[in-house]
Amino acid sequence: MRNFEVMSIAVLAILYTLVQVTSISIYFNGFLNLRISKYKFYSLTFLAMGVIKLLSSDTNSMVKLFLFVVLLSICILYSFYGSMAQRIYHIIFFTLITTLADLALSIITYNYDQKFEGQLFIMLVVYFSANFLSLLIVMLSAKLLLYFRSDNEVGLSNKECLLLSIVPCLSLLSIYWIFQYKDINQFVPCIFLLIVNVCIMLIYNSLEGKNFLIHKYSIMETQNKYYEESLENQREMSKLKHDLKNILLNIAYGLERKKTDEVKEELQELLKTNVFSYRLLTGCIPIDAILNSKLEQTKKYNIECTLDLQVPQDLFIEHTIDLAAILGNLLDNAVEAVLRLTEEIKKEITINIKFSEDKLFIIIVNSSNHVNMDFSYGRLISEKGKNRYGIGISSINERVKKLKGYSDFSYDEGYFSSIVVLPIP
Amino acid sequence: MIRICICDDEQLHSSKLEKIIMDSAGLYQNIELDIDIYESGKSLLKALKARNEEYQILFLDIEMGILNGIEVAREIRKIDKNMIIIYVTSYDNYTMESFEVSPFRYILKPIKEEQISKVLLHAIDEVRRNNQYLFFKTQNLNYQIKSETILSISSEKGRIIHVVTVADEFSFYGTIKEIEEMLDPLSFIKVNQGTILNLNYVHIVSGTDIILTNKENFAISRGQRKVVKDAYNNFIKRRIGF
Repeated sequence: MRNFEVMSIAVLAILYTLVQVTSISIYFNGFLNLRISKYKFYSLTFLAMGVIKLLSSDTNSMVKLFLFVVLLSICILYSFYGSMAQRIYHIIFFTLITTLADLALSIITYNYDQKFEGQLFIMLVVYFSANFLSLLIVMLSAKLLLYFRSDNEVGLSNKECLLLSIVPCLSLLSIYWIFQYKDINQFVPCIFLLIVNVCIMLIYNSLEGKNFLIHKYSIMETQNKYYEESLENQREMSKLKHDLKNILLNIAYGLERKKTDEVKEELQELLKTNVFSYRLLTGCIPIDAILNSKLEQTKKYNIECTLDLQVPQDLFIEHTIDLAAILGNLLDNAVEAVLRLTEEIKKEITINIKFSEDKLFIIIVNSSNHVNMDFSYGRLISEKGKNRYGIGISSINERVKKLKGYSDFSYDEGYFSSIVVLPIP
Repeated sequence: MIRICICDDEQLHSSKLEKIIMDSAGLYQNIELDIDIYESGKSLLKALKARNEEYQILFLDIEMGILNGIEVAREIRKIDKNMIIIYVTSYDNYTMESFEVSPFRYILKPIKEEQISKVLLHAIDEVRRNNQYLFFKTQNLNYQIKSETILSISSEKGRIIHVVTVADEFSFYGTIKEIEEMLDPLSFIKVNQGTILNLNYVHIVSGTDIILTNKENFAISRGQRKVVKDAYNNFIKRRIGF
């Protein structure tokens, strides 16, 4: 009997730890970004939660809680990106949900303790079932909260995080105060605390959403201004080119009349503008403007650029700024990726822009370091830094969506491909 | 047997192109070609209108004398909507006019063997793919429709198949699985449990829906999203000759 008891306890403990690791994974992977491999994270968390099980059941619950928070913190701070304040907020909030769930169920099973006293096996089953149930509640709550989460990467400022953390923190401490009381005096305040904290989480989600919108619109503002200027430049240049014939006639006339000084002055004026460095690529202004400017960059960095362009020069485009911004972002990403290349990989970018069946197809392929294309949590993790998560790509996606187009990004064997299809009605 | 024609007012140029095409085809097994040369758009149109000839691939020079390539292409499209038209041109500036006929590719002069070879293979691929048929029976009649004319295939209650083509609609008893086996997986993609679409008629793909050129909208099931994206990406790359 002894061995059987010990074995069953061990098996149940392992199962329970696994489910616990799953609930932690669901919650934290939903709100934060992993920075080590999934398997390392699972093993680490399993180890940490396992250690807590080894403590005897006599230990003070405050000590247990403290140890839980410390071990969980170590796992999370090591495994995830994010600001300190943000991660601490989530650690405290998760501990709170877990504690509340545990508490709710322990109240229910409290009565069973006395009923089945002596029948160890049944008590164990009841105990572990209650624990599994509480983890289930944690996972469901996590899923529910994630459902309301806005899909963005900007997060909250440290000040906002710390302020919000106060509520779950004090709630946790209140719970231990409440332990002194019995039954309904325990139950009711816990429900209240749960509601308060869920509200805080909803505010957190809402703040995240607002912060992101502010950030996005400020970026779009800047981009719009930049591209507007760029387009204006291009329009001026093409106008100038058009006027060139007349200017040349003027010069020829001036030379004929031997007005050399005036001619000299006019040439000076001409040479000040960049009309001679403007390259006619497709004849389509938004595309040429961006290509010309980015090609200058690639020349500077010695990046080999292959162009394959088939766009009618009399193509009428309604949303010139969006097209310019999309193309600009795509090329910026390509150039930056190539400049980040680590080994002796060839620096190359292929730009393919073709018009066919009333749609503009843009395919850009560049050599690149390995890119983590894990979209399982709905976010592309940016290579630019652990706190900037592909704002360039999300800006492209926004604009493509606005133009009712299609976009796709993929990485395969050393090359990153971006495909954008825009319907040109 | 693939029927190709070259339309160019410069005899030297057409002979050169003919030789390159024959050489390219010779490199691969089981490609049989038949090449005809026309010196003017007028003679080509005459032959087509008289229904004496039918071609699958056309290499068409844009800069020709009386009737230029773009006008010829426009006239051809009135007769044959499916012919693969490959423009051959000296200038790399294009106009909307030339795009109206949905050309397959543009090739710049002076022509390079490698480029012609590549385009030829893609064109032959396309022809072969378009020559496939879908066979089905309704009651007592046997049908055979060219898969290149099929826009969408949907299944009702798992037993009845509705096929929408450019000109017609058909319904018959069958299962999606049987149909799937008859179709080219590079052109046809299953977007959800009961629907298969022809990528050639896709207008736009958003994350969750596909809109065809006939304005019909189909939802992509969650499980199929990645498959559809991959298939569409490959389709785009093939379509623009990447």
